[in-house]
Amino acid sequence: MSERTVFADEVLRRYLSSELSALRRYALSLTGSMDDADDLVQATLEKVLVSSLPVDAPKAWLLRVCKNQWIDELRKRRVRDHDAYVEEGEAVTLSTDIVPDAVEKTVEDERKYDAIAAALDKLSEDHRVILSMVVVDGLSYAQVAEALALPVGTVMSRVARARTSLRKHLNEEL
Amino acid sequence: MTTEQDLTLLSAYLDNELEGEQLTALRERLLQEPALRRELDALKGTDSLLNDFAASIDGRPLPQAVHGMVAGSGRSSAAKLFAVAAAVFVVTMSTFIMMPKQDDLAFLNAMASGEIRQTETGSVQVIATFRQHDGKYCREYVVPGQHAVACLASGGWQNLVTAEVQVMPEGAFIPASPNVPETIDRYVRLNMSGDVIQGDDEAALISAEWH
Repeated sequence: MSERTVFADEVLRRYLSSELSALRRYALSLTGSMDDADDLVQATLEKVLVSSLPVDAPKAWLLRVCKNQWIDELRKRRVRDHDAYVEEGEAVTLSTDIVPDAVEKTVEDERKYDAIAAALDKLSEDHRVILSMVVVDGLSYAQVAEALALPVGTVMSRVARARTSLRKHLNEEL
Repeated sequence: MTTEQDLTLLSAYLDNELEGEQLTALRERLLQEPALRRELDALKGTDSLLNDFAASIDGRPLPQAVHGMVAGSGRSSAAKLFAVAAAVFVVTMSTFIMMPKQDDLAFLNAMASGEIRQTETGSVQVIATFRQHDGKYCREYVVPGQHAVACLASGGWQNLVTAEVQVMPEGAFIPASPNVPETIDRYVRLNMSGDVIQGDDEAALISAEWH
């Protein structure tokens, strides 16, 4: 990244502003929780405002930073959960305020959102990340391949497996 | 029975990643195989649900902290520059203000957003490229003495909105008034259609000479 041309500060902020909605959607699909999603967006922006983004592939890098921040957060939570388990003698589940709480929803919407969040929670992190990049953010396989440092063929097969897994888990939830 | 290979093809089809013979062959199979169509519809339904779920965050207000990180600091950094300039800026405006004529805007044909070029009179920078609602390509840029938006018309690049800026001796730009950049920002916000054009898309436009 250090050898790539990156955005100047003002351009970066304008770019981030234009991508904020997409970034929040991506973060929600990664975390399954609105609170976690907004925290993740904030952490991602803090990181990106320091390091900037390459002008030739800003979106892929933005999502990659977001993904890495989320994986770091999950690692921290696992450590905290393990400590809590040791102290209290019982397992602690991850925080999953999966019901979007500040949006007016119908009961049916709420049931579907609960189901999709639960189904997403059952996916491996690899599958969740790649599906969010392709389905939610519309990145091409080539862009995902660059962001995740994978061959395009691997991206194609992994997306397909992630999709079918999500459908299977969703059928179990609905 | 749908095979794993079929599911990979259907998935790539949904993502517009198939082309040529593979695409033609799958389309023909979809016409002839109801089970394959049902699989495709099921995958589409899952995608749709995932997108609806992700979009549900749109209705939740953006946290103030996040908003401030992206939107607020541009003005505040300009304000800081202005404050610094008030203390150290001792040049005469008429010496440094240079309003470029329309035929001076040829640099907009070739420079990428974010690129900075040094000229005899100071720095030239293209800030962003976007398309207006009327379909014209436009570029926001800064040259010594001016922060502007120019759009491409039949006669070349034409300035549509401009704001005077002062120039510090080393060439850094500062706004003549804190309101000036907001004028530019407002024009961009109101007239931009879609997203900022950048990266490969912008490079393709430049190499195709904006056709």
